Amino acid sequence: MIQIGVISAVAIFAFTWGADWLKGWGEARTALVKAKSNLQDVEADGAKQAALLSIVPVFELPQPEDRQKFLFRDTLLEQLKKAGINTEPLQILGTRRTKALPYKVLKVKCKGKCKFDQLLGFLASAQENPYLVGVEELRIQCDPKEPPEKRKEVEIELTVSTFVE
Amino acid sequence: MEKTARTAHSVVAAVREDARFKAVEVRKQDGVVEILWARSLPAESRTWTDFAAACGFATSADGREKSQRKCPASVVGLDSTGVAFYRISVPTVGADEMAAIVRMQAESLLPLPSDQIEVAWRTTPSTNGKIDITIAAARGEYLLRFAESVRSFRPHDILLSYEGTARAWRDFFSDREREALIASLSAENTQVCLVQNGLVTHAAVLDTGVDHLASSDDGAAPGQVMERFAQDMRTILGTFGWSESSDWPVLVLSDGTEVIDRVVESLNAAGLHARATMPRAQNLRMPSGFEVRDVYEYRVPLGLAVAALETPAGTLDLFERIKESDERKAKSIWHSVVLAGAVAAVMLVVLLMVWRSVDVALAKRLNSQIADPNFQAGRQRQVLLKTVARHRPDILQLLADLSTGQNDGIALDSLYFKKGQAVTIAGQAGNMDQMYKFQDGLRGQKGIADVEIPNATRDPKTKKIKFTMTFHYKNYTKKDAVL
Repeated sequence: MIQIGVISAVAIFAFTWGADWLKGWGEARTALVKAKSNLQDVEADGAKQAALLSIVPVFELPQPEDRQKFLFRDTLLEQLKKAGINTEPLQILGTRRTKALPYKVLKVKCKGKCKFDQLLGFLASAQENPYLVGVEELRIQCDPKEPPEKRKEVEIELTVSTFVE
Repeated sequence: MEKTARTAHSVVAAVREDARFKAVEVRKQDGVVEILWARSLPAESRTWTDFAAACGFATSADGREKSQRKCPASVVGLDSTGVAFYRISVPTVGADEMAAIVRMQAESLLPLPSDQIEVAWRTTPSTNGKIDITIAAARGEYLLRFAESVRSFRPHDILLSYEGTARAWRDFFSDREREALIASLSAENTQVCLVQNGLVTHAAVLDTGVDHLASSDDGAAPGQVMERFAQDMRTILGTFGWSESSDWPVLVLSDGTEVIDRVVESLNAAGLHARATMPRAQNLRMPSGFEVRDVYEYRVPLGLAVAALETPAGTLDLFERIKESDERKAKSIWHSVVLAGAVAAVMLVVLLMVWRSVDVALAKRLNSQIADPNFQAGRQRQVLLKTVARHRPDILQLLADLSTGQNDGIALDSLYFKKGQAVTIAGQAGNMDQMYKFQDGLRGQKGIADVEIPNATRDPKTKKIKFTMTFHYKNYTKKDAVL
């Protein structure tokens, strides 16, 4: 009889508080998994972070479109000038929503002529632009009639992107 | 030993006697005792376990007992040679005092320390205001070994074989007396017991049996062994309190063989008033092939079985302490298991509680950390960095890949890269071979795949091959690379 009493008491306790207790635990576990996932977004080991920084050495958080597009354009112009590339006026192509981020993508197109070395110089310094996301499109065209050794300039069409708020 | 409060429908009784294991299964209906079967096996090179298996008590390969179902109740007879009997008279006192007196008396009578001896006793009323007490004693170790050896029979009782002999005489032999001295001869010894009102009140064993008595005919001194046997009997009876004037007849259990007749004669010659008593089949139903003379052969197990069929009263139970010890041990094991289970359950509950508390606390801490604006900003920045890194093609590397490898005679005229599309290059080659080598070189570059030549024509003026090549570059030329 005592055993049945003890078992009943345990069962009553388990059914009354056990379910809530387990539910609370389940919620805590879910929150924990979510929190850990959030932390993983931030945490990266040394090698991965170094690799990340080699691709994106500088980056500024996106500003509202009105500010960002000028910041981006001005920096880009400065870099082009520094590389010695003369371009037509930069063309802002407008914005587009991104799939996974709360930002829009703004693209800027430029056309011009330059020496191939100048283009390489610009591409090497492009990642120093803290507003740049990446090169979206690039066309390089030489005069096919000229033999390779006599080709002095190339025509370029470059489209680059930035995030805007 | 198993304990059962119910009266069994049938009982298997087993003994070891005359170097043979003997067993019978008996049931009682309407006052008639029915022998269901009788079985015997030579004891040489066999154990109780073997005999139990032969009697249908299932045992596993290692001798351990199997399921207790479908097995009848059983009782085992303890060989009386290891049991000593004493008889004392004490004044009429209370039960507690009686026990103390018996223990004290027994300690003075026994040849060994009391902790090595098991004692059982029962009282019989005496005439002179005193109480007669029959004490049976045996070495504890001997009893323990015996109980262990017969475990495969799962006996609910182990009785003294004297009790079986006395009960068999009362129920299955011809002479009935209120008090009698019963002599039961086996091959190697003779059990002598004083039975009063159906109870054994004194007993002893003579180490002379039928084998010695029968062989005395061939000896150098005929009748000498028989005479010595009669003298020994007389001595034993004297210790029982017998005298020539007492009216206890000496009844020798007999199967009608000549040796026993001569024993009776010899005892009578010694002045012991002996007579032989033969088995009878009254109120006894026997299986086919079982003759009346077999009642003599199986007298001890038969007597034990009939005694076990009735509710035992005043049995001399030498195994009481051993049973209690077994029960205590079983109880202790059970208690240990229950305690271990309870401790494990408590530990489990504590573990779960700690685990839950840790999870809840950690979730709380991480959530508060995550809710911190600095953390959010950092996380946002990190997510953006990863996204940018994923979407930033290394155009310099692409140009470097194009200029590396087999590009002799190759001049590139244009390159077109756009995210989500294959990279297209146009150029000239001195000949087809140079073009294909260039294509192979590109194929060997890490990150460049699916290099195709959709167009290749020979320029009629320059005689060079003008070609267009397309290829995929890392993940940037896949459709989902477009932001």
